[in-house]
Amino acid sequence: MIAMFKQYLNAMRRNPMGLIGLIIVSSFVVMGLLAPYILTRPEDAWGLTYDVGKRFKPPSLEHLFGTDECGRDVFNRVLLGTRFSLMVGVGVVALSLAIGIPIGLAAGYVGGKLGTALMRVTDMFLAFPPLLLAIALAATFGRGLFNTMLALSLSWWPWYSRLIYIQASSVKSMPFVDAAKVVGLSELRIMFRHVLPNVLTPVITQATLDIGSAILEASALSFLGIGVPPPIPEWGLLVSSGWQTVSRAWWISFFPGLFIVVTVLGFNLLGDVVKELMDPRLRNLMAMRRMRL
Amino acid sequence: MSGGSLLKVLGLTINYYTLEGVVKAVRNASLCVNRGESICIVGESGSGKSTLGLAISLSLPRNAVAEGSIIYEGVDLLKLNPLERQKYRGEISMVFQDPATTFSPLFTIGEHLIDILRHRFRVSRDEAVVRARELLRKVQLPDQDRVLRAYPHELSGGMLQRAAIAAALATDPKVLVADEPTTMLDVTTQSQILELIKVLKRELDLTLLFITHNLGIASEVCNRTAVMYAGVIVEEGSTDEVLLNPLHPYTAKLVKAVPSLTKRRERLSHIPGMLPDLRNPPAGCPFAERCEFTTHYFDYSPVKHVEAGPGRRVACILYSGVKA
Repeated sequence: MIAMFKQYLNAMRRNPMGLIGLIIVSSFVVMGLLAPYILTRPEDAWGLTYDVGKRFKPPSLEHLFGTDECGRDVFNRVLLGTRFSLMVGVGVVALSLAIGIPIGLAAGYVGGKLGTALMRVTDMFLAFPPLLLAIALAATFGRGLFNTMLALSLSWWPWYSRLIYIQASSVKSMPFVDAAKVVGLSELRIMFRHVLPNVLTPVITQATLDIGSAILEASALSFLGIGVPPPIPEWGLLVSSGWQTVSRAWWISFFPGLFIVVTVLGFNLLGDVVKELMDPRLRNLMAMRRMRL
Repeated sequence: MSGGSLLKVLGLTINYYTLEGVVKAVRNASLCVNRGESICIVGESGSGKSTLGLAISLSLPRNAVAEGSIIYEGVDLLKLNPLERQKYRGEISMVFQDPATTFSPLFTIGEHLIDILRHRFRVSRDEAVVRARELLRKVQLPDQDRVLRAYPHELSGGMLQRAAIAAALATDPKVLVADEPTTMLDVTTQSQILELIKVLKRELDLTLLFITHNLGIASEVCNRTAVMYAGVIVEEGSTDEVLLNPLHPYTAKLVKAVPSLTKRRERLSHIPGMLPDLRNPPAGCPFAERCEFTTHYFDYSPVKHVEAGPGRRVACILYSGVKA
């Protein structure tokens, strides 16, 4: 564990962009966790207030990010939205990985009839345009934070299982799998200890990139009115709430949008470091590149 | 030779089920390996020698079906259920051709060795580290602690192959199958690895099954040699006899095709023609199409193995009349 941590620190030192990614992501996580305690106007944040007199106020010292069409403080709403958006982004990807990895790994490593069966099911899900499937599912499940996450995950996992499947079916014929078989390691052990780590790199990278897209898709569902229900200050919902008035009050959409962009950027930068950490060969390559710089 | 037969392969047939059809990789192969013996399986690429090795070390891929029997210490390994078979894995260990891919690139050599040792002997981590270091010392790798911490890509081919041998020996095997362990190495490293294998064989009282296409290596390492062609063992006997006095026309051509350093020749001799399609191999002699002794009234019925001397067998109709 300590060795892992040291490696991580080392990788960070070699890759300052990764450090920036880590700082961005962790500060957003802290912000999301602490949001309820640092809100200056919690009623505004939760969307319980309506003040005609304070509608569409531009950013000022009193309202850092201005106010929205209901006279609520945008800064407070965006701040509280952090936890919902992160939850949706991370939750969707985690759920999709939890479904996609076992299916892809089993299909790729075991192969045969089981593999074919699992991959045809995957193909069935892939046959739908992803957002369309998510829309259909979300509409069936009804509005709500968890339902949105579930709907997105169900349209998302096939990509991971496909990715894992392709990797696993090529890695399983590598000599080190045979070597592990010869010395008598069990199939399950080979599958999880030797095959899985070797197929994980592209998926982890893809997953870190996808957290951003998941936040965006969740906001698309919210925008269509079948995602997170309105009073919840989810970022996507905030962006879409200011969409119609963007020419008069740009700040309503701009600030939550900015937060989405920065978060996605943070996860992408972090993804690069994770990728590097997962692969010792890359670890050295990056070290070399830094040295030459 | 110390003691009777340890490993017996009887009428082994291995088919690969692929999208392009059933590939008959090994057909009716029989081989008897005595305890403490080193036997070479020689043949060109695609002759089924690696498949035979994989079958003996119980690690055929899932699409391969083996029939016949592989009898190890009196137990037919092919008749065992998967759980019982698991116990015999590790008894027959294997070294692979390409040392660079024998180890998972994401783990250090130490992690590999410790994993195997802990799984096999149920020892503590510290104990496994001690044993791993001992194994690396045995394969003559200097600076064992550094090697234990190294990732596969950080070692040279020769060092990796030594580490791979250490991994193969980690289970304390009785039989070591070496599938062209020197093919990917340069010549000086090759001879070092061969020397190492010979030393280890003597020290650990291993029975060695050496798979190679290099007749020179065969003569250096093994006391007996079996020649495979198109999935069939065409000739078997003591290495010296097989190489100096080949009976089967294929072996003769193979021996002649070895380039000589001393004799200058106009061109390298080769064997005209190609391997038969193993999806639909000829019923008779597989070498008939390329053999100079084939006549047009050639008998295409299956060829029987003929005893042609003590421990000498050949599958060729030229000798069907010969009695030992």
